Amino acid sequence: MKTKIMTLGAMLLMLTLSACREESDMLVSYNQNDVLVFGKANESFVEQFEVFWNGMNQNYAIWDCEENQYGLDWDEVHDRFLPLFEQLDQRDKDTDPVSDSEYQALIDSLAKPLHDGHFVVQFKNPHTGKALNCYPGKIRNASRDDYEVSQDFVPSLAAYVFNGTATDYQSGCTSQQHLAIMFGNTYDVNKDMIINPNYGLGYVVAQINELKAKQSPTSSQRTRLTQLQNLFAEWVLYKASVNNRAELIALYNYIVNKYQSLKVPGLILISSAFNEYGLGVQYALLNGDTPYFAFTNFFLTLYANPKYSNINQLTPGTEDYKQSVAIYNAWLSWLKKVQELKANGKLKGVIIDLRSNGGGMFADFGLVLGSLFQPGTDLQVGYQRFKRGPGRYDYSPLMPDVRPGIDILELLPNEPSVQNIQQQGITEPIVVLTNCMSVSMAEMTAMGAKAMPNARVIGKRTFGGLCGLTNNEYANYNYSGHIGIAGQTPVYCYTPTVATIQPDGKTILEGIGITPDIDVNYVVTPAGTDSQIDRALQYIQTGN
Amino acid sequence: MAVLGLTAMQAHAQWRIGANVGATYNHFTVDKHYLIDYNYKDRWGTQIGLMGQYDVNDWMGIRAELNLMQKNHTVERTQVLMKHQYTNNYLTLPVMASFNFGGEKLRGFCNLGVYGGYWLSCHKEGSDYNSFHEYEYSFSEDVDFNSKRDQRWDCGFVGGVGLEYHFAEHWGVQAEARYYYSTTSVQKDYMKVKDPKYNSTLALQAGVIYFF
Repeated sequence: MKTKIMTLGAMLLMLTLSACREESDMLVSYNQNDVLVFGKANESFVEQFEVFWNGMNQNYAIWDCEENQYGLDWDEVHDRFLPLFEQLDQRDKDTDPVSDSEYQALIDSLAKPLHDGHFVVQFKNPHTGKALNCYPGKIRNASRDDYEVSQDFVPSLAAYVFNGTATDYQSGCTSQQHLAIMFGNTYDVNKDMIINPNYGLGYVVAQINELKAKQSPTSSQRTRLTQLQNLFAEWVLYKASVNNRAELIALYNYIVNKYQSLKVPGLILISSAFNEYGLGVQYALLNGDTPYFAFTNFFLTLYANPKYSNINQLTPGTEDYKQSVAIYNAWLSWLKKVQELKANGKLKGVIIDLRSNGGGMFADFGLVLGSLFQPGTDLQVGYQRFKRGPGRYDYSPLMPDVRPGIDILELLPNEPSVQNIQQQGITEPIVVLTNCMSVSMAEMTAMGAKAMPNARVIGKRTFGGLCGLTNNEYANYNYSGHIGIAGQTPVYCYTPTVATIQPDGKTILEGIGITPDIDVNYVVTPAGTDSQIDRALQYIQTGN
Repeated sequence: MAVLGLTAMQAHAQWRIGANVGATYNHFTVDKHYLIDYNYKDRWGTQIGLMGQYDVNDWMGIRAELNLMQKNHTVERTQVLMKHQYTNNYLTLPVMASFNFGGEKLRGFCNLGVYGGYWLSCHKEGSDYNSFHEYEYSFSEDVDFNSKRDQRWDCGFVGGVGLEYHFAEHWGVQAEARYYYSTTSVQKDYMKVKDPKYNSTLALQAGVIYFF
């Protein structure tokens, strides 16, 4: 009897065990261009949606922030949007194609709720073949008061040079940064105002006004006037119709070639050598005691760090070479002046201008803010957290986000002018200037300033893109990050691999940005100076 | 006859109580998907508990226990410096039918039943790799439960075999090998995507029993 009961019990148990555990869904990696993963998405709207939704579900680094802070329910998004994509798949490509504007509107509404500041999504319309992009961070920031004034903004020190506040002015500029410095910031076409009459479009307009004012112009002056007016008219007309930076660079080079005889200062061809890592820098000594440094992107490493510098690959004497050397010299002058004034007890403060700086390489941190640390020290500014699985909440432990300083002599062993520097940490006020187009490494540097007792962030709140990214070949370090390959897969997402977390161990400022310690709107004062630089100088001089 | 039969059964019915200690060896069942260099490894833990049993007759009883047991595991990677050791403490309540056989002093037994449990705490320690700053990070920390993700209630099937030795009129000792088969994923269905994870735990335990 008991044997039968025991035997029956064991059999029942075996049967029940086999039925009691759920199987997991099959999950695939979306990091590479895999035909099995992306193939169907070339032809189907629904397949593109599923790739996007699942890829994001697995790879996105800040789902807890989206859900807890912004109330986003990613599962609800799937339920809501799937039928909309299914409807598109019902449409005939030949008789009732889905237009790009229609698909763009759907993609925008799908992607807009995501708050990662770097996030860009690209869908290729299966009916038209056109790649459509959505950049939610840009859409989100476009409604901000300082968005327009921050577009292609480059600080102008002209007034400070003119009134003697700024001395030892140096600048360098390669590639597309010519556009902003030489043209975008010298004449405001919207306000019909010359900001800087010494180069670029400001020079063109100043020259036009000067020639028009002449009572009896010579023949060559009349010819020059006509050509200047043609240059101005062509620039304004065609600039209004360009769609992207590549077209803008093409227009710029067209203008340079056509009007080179006018010898407009700053009208230099943009070389393709620096299309990707073009950089503009400015250095000046303000008030004789405050070294100021501004740069447009975190690509300094490719100019300043001998281990990675591209300068030696350039041909001496070419414009690329000259500008690259100028960049290196401007940065080096700033670095040396800080240490020189510190050694002489004359340093009042330091300004690092990161307004409209689009970010770039992490290594640049050490060359700028990190160079002001006490030698041999580094700075923890918060925490980093990585994905550790395909689940939305599969995270690594919080790991310290530590920013390194640099040893100037170790960095530049063959630079004679720094060999006598006794490097010191800077305890005087440090100001980091930001605006709404201070993105990525610019914001992460501002975050570093927040962690320093003697540093202040002045200006406007940054863009909101603090989480870091790596290239696809590093994706499997964390099985996260980008979805697909740009230009190759029908769906592509540019998305971070790491969450940046504030020192409290909880707050994620993605989509929000770093709030300045002193909020100041940018205006050009009646004296022609920059309100935010003025405020930085006021803080450094008065402590308020 | 019925009265004699009932009297005979009542003559065998008895209570027993006891305590046990032991080791657990846990297997964490999880789908690795495309995380090709992840390895989930079984890990030892400990267990301690109290038991009570009502013997209906000389070969069958109903047994219940209250155990504090560990269901531990390790996850490590082969291509990146990462090793996480998880120590999970559970309070479990197995309720089993206990079938025993053999002689007066030395008997064998088999337990079959179900259990319920609650995930009390989780501690993880080990190393991880910060690929952004390129450094190895060592850590030891208690894990905060995530109410959306973590399923703290646990239940499943349990069965074991063992030996029991009565060394005195009211005292005995037991040694048992027991297997807990959880049917509850430690991860809730918090996403549309199903990705369950289960514990299967072998417990080797020894205990002392008092027979009333």
